[in-house]
Amino acid sequence: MKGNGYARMLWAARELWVHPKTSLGMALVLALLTTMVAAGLLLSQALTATISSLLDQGPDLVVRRVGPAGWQPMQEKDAALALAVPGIIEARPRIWGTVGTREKAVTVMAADAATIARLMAPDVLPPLAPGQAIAGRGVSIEASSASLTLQGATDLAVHVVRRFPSRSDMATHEVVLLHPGDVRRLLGLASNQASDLALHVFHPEEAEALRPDLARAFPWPVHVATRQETRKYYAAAFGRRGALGSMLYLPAALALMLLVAVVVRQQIGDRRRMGLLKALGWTSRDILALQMTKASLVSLPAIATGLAAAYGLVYAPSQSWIGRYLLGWQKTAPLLHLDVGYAAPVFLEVTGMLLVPFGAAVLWSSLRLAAATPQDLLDRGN
Amino acid sequence: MTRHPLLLAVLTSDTLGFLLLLGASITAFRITLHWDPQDTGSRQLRLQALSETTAAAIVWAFGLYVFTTVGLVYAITNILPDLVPGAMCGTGVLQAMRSGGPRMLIYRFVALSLFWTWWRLEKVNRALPEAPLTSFNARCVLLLLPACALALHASWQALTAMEYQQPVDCCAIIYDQFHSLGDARRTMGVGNTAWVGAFGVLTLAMTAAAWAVWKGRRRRWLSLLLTCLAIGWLLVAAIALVRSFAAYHYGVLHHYCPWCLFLPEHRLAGFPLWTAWLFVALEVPAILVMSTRVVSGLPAVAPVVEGESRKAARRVLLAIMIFVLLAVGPAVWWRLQFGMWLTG
Amino acid sequence: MVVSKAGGRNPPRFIGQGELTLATDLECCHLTFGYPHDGQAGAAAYLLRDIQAIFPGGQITLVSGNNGVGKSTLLHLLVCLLRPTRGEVLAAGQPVSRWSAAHRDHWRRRVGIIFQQDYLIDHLTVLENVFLPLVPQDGGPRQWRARAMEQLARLNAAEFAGRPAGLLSGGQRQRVSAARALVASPDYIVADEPIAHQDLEHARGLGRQLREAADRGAVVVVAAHDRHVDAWLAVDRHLSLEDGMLQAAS
Repeated sequence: MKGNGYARMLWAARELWVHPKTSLGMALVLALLTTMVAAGLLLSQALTATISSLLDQGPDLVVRRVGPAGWQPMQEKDAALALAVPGIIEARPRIWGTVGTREKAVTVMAADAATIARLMAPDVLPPLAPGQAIAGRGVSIEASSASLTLQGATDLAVHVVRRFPSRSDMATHEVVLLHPGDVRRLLGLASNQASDLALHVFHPEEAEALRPDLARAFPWPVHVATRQETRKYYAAAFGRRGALGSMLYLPAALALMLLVAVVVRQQIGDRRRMGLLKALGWTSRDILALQMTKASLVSLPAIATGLAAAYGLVYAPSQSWIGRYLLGWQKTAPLLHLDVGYAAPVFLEVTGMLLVPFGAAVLWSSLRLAAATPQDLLDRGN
Repeated sequence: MTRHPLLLAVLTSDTLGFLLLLGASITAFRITLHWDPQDTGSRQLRLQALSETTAAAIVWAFGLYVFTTVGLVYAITNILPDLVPGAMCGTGVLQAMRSGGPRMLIYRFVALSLFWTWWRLEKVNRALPEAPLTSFNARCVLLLLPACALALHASWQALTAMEYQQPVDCCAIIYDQFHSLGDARRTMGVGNTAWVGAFGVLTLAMTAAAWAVWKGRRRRWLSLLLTCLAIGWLLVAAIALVRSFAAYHYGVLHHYCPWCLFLPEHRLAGFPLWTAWLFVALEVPAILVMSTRVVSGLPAVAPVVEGESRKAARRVLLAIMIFVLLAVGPAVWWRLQFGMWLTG
Repeated sequence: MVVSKAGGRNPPRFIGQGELTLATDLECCHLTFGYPHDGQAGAAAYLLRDIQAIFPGGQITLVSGNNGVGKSTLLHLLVCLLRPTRGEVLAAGQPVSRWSAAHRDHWRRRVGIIFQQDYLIDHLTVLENVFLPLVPQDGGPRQWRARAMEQLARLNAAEFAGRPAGLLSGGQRQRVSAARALVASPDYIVADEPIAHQDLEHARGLGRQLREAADRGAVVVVAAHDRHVDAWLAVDRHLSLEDGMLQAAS
């Protein structure tokens, strides 16, 4: 259509208004489908981005001693062996593990003053004395006494002096911070033992290349995990879950295409009307352009609405359904990290999975009628 | 694992585009069999009308194809490396696809080239009231269909065969290409400096030929010359880019990886660079086909073809300029900054 | 007896490289047409046979004849709604009947057709029906409305501009159909029994519009079997269609 785009849009809107309920219905279906698909995709990306940003705060490499039965404790002095590898600039022994409570397993971590300073500002978390603890919001404690019983190599009752701030929930939900002596007792570690070593390297890109060097540096078998490897593990796991959800979209998209094809065929009229337009100087290209403009007027706002709804479902601070259904959190809404680099592909994906099938259905159902000739008008009459 | 949403989106769009093309091919087949401009019967009239809508369907299929190709390249370079263990760029991802990856890209390129040529010819055809190239273009569509089918099949194969458990080693592929520094400075037995020199010469020759086609009197031999030069230029430009000019994007010598240019760390330079290269690769065959007697021999067609060829030559010039600017520009900038070239 | 004029064949300008502008004059060269379902062989099967005629710009030509003789078919052939079985139609020397469908459809933007049946779209308003030919062309809704209202006013139909076309009477529908044909100021106007449901006053109004169009250079061809055409239309030439042949009326 040689008129300006604005005029074409207005005429397309007028044609849609001839069947307002059908047009709105189609837009609603598309918006709902977009919300469903985009929420799944955004959630998968958000979890990946959040985990990635958490991992960025952590060490570049983690070395664990392994044996026939699995994990084994290391000596704290073994950090010197790691420091001897060129490229390693820091090697920090960590004391942490998993123990039980009355309800579930929690992660316990030793927190001396240096660790607390590293984790958060000292004025947020106080130094801990033996028998004291700082607990995450997912750890249940006795309401009256603020006590917590931990079951490990030995049972230990501690007094919870504070909770972690809510904004740290993604990292601390089921974490209990304890005095180093208490953690060692729970995990059955001797006074000079550590769970693993956290290493920092000069060039983060070199971490992968240092794995064989680190393996050779220790006299016993070790497992070396890099940040990149861990990130990919979580990305693949979340990607698989998101992908399974995406498979559900296939029958829904097919149903959408069929619905669109039927509706468009009904709305476009018959060959007689197309023949009339041809007699009045419309070309096939004009007719198809009009149909695609109508499709855009329906689909683009619908998809934008669906994306906005999906964004709200995933990122709105008050959304606790993610914590409840995915992570088993009773009350807290996890604060997910929005990363444009991770979220941008979602637009491509929604375009390919929904907008393209929608447009293809409209085009397909318009093609035959757009091929009408004025003879169709004359043959079929009024 | 084709269940990654972006790959699912790409394959969905690819399949839909192919189905559009398949439907259009049925009409193209009928046109090939029954097209007779002198016939005034209803079949010819119907075919005339259908030929227009068929052309519209193919244009949309082409658009979808471009969209999916861009999406696929983006996935290979920026999304899948995060999922393939050991992959740092598209090189690792293609390694995870085994032999299917390069085959997929080659078939896609062939299909893209045929689409482009058809599109240019169809523009010529539609500009003429009697649409004299309709039958010829219908045959082009019948050639396009198997190419797209192969490309679609290769894409499915490559993406389903992609290995997500076995780690790949990008660096091994890149650095295992040569065993000594001497080897690193040569490509196919010729020094990299010579390739840069050849690039300069061929670029000047291409520019002159494209300028002559654009501005000068139209001669068929000029189009032939431009095509021959383009074949050489495409090969030499790719080698010079990867072996010499890319070093100034990476800031590192002997990192002969074409895919790292697509990474955000290198300002996604790979996209405009390889798009400009691709433009030349697509336009020049179209110019050649338009200059053949089959097309330009028809008296009514000749003036339109001449106009289209001039426009195509102008686009080729623009693409070459963009390529040279993005490939050579960083090298010049490096030289200005540090007073030396990167040589190893 | 009209004679054909050997028209020059200028090379066509290219659609998309600027509006295709044609001076007027419609010419039939050996125009022959037969409906596919009418007989299978022989001259007797053809409705129109070897018609050679020029319809010059600036004149109103009346084509008369009995019912079923092919007047409507001739008009439809002139504006390329149908394709001739043999021969061709030339518009200012261009063989428009041999053009591709897209070019014919595009050329028809310069054509105004008043059909025997009105062919209005019932769910659109009168105003929208009238400016429908303008929508794929340049301009916007404001210009469309203005031109459509102006045309309706000239035919005394402006009062029901906002009404859905499905609610109009036969005579009103015919006036709207005429307004639609004239809204784009076409260079070629064909009118097939345009006043079948009109009173004399409205018929004269239409006649004035057709006269104005001819005066600005348009080709106007009117098909009617009404003997009293002079009462509402100032005709320049009168041709009679009989036995598939076109000749000057006595």
